Order: sequence, then C-alpha cells, then structure tokens
Amino acid sequence: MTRGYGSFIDAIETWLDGAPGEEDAESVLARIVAELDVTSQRHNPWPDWLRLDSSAVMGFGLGAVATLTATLIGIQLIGGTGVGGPTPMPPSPSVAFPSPTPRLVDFFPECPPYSPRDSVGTIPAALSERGLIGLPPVGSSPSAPEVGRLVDCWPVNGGRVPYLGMVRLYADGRLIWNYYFGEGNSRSTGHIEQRLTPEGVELLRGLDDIAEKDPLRLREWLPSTAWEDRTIRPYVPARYGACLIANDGTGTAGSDLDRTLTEKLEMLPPEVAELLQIREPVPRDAYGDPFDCLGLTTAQARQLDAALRESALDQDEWRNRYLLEYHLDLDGDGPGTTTISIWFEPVFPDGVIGCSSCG
Amino acid sequence: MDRETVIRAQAGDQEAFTRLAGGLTPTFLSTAHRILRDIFLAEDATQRAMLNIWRGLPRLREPDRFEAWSYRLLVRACYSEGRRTRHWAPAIGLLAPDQSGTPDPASAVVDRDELERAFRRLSLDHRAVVVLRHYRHLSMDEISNALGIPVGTAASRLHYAMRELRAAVEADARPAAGRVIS
Repeated sequence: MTRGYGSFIDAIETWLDGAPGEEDAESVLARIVAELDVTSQRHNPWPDWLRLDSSAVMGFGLGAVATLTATLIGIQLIGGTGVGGPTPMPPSPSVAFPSPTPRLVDFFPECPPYSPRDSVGTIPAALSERGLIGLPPVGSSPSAPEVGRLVDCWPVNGGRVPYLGMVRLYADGRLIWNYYFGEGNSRSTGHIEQRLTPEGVELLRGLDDIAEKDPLRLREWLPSTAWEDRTIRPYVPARYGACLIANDGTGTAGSDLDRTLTEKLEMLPPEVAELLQIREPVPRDAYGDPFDCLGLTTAQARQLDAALRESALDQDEWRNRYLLEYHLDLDGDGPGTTTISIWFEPVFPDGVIGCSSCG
Repeated sequence: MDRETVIRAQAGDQEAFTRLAGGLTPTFLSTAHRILRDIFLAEDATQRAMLNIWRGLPRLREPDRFEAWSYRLLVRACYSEGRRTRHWAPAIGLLAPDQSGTPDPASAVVDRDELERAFRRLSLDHRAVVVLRHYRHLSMDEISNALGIPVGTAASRLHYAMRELRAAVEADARPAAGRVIS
C-alpha cells in the first residue's frame, strides 16, 4: 500500500514544527543590538582631523580628548548649553566619550524621528532643483572651508513619505539641506546652502521643534541678524562620493543584493572600475551602509562621469531628477537581472555623505 | 507588522526598530534554523538579516511590503550563511532527534532522521521554499514576493523540492525492509 501525498506533507510539516530555535531569540536580539552599536561607531561623522582611531596618534588623541572634554565642560559651565545641548557627540572608535545611556544610533544622535502626516508638504516651485544635483557646472567654487564641524541635524518635516530630506547645521554657520517632494519623492531641491551668523546657529541649536526648524519656515521667523546670507545657493562640495549598489533589477523594495565592493567593481566596465580601484571609502551618515561610496575630488568625479557616459551606461530620467545615476544590466533585463548602479553624492563638510537615492 | 512602526523605524527611530527586531527575531531564528539545519548558522543568518534590514530600511519605498521584504533579506542571509559553509557542510553530523523519548506523529510515515537527511540534500533554494510554504504557511504569491522570484518559479521550486524530498526519503527507506512510504 502506498500512503497519500497529503500524509507526506503532514509529516514534513510536523517535522518542521518540531525543530527548536526560538529559545535563543533573546540572545540573538541582544547580539544584533550590540552589533548595531558597533556599526554606529563605524560611521562616526566627525571629520578626519578629529578622528582618534589611529594607533600612531593614540597618545596625542588621549591628550586631545582630555583637552576637548575640559573645554566642553568649561563651555557648559559658562554658557550652560555646550555639552548638554544638541551638539552631536558620537564616541570615537578608540576613545569612548562618557555616555550614560547607550544608544543604538550614535552616529546621528540629535535627529529626532518625525511623525508622518497625511499629505505631502508643498515646495515653492522656485526651489525645485535650485540646489546641487549630481555635479556642479564647470568652474563652480566649492563651499568653504572644506571641513566643518556638524553641530546639529534634523530631518525636514512635512510629509508622509519617511525620508524627505535632511538639514545639517555647522559651527561655521553653514546650513545645508535638501528636500524631496512630489509623487514618490521624485523631485528634489538639490542640496542647498545658506549661511547663518553665530547668533543664528545658537538660535537653531537651542530649538527642539523640528517643524519650526524646517528650512522652508526659517525664512519666515529667523531674524535678519541670524542670517549671514539667506540666499538659496547650490551646495558645492569639495569632494564627492561615487556610490555603488547591486540589485536584482526589479527596482522594488528589497531588490538590493548583498555584494562586496570588489564584486560591485567587477560588474562595472573596466575603464570605469579602474578609476575607482584606489579610492578610499567615504563614511555615510544615519543610513548605515546598504551601499558603498568611494571618495573623489571634483576633477576625479568629472573624469568618472565622462567615463560612465562614454561607456554608454543607462540613465533613468525619473531618477536623474534627484540624483546623477548610471546603471548597467548585466544579464539581459527584467526581474532577476543583476543591475549595478553608480551615482554621485556630495561629501558634506563633516566628511560624510547622505543618501540622495533614499526615500 | 505595524506600518506605523515600520515608518518610524525608517526615519531612524531606534525604539521602533527595536520593537520591530524584537517581533521578528524569534520567527526569523526558527525559520532560518529550519532552512539551514544548524542553530549557529541560523543565529548568524538572523543577525545578518536584521542588520541588513536596519541598513536597508531607508531604501524601502513601500512600508506595506516590509514583511515580504524582510523575509527576502532573511532568505538571502540564509543563502549567504549556507554558501559560506558549503565546502564543509557534508561533514556535518546529523542533528539529534528533538524529542527522542516522546511519541512522534510523523514517525508513522518516515522518521525524523530520514527527513533530516533528505532535507539536507536539497539545495538552499529548495529548502527555503519548503520552509516558507510548509512551516510559515505562506501563499505562493507571498513566497514569490519574499524570494523575489516569479510565482511560477516558486511553484516549480516547491514541486521539485517536494519531489526530491520524497525521492530521497524513499531511497533511504528502500534498504530498510518493510518501510513503505508511498
């Protein structure tokens, strides 16, 4: 006699149900949380000159930390807002700053989550694409100074789509922001720079309400003494990130493939990969690293852009409204095809890049 | 999964992500264990999947698809862990029966060792589809979404996986006189 197919499936299901595993879930979760914490420290947004992770400068680093800590304590005693204010103070990879409450996300500590709304915010038409998207026109002067200390950052607040843009405030007064809008966040202001006076910087640092700090609202209420220059200008960085991601070509959520940087470079035409072989990775901000970015000077970025165009990689008109991106389908087209995408991101004064492709 | 929580986690809300992770981890761990048949690999796959979820969340444009997307990352993590150990996998001993002292309803058809052995002979692609269908009870549409493959491919994988499983069990059973499964 033979048993029916249904009995066999029952046996499979019973056998599958019997396997253990759930009892270890807590410890796995604890490991994930611990790993996230470590991951956050890898994305320290402090500029290179403030990073103390080299053993060669360890002694100097410890002294510098002591000096810095003493200075900050002094500022707090005098001003009352120094360390306790919204200044991001991520731990150095090698020298831990005191932190009474361990956090999952130390690399973007002062950007509060924002509540979704029912409708997408509106943007004055004049702002569309006024900022930097991709690479600037030849001859544009980069924002100065090249390096700046990030003192606060917050997401723009205005729509139901989670990522609508980010505002970054620097100690030297630079306010750099971008805003995505339109259906599917398909339009962008590009990265914009305005300049505040020290008074303006302190005003914004002391304000917790991110709705009030929305860059579109600042012009309404920030006093003129807070602005050094409130002209909307494109933020022109001194350096760029060339970012790479491989996906399965469906273009839908979850299509990103887990590939190493070397594997991604091998997917590119040789003349393009060659330009990226010796470049250093650029750290990213709050968004972890689902993709890899390599640092380029303006000249190198232009050279890469030219190589990408000469290699006849494809471009998507829809995506190029908010970033400069090229892609290559490696084995035909349609779902299941591996696609390598490469795009340009501005490097911010604190040495990190954001995520123009997010959202 | 609560859409609001997903959206908050996307925006960097660590508390929301911890809540998501806390809800997903037990299911992920048990699913990964059933695919990989090794608790240590399953832990690594779960951890890898959760980290990839954290990293990839900002790129998720459709929060409603979070569940299918997260399963996709889990299965992919299982593939990675499975590939990582492929060269020495044949040397792994069989898992001990889970509850050797208690009656097992499945033993009327095949015993656990035979199923274990047969399941290990399947490719990871085939294991994943069997687990998602017969352990997670996902529909073929959901499996298709979770694995990022067409529905037809998912159905075909399931068909061949079950056929291989059945054939393997039969082959194992053949020398043992008197045990008939079909």
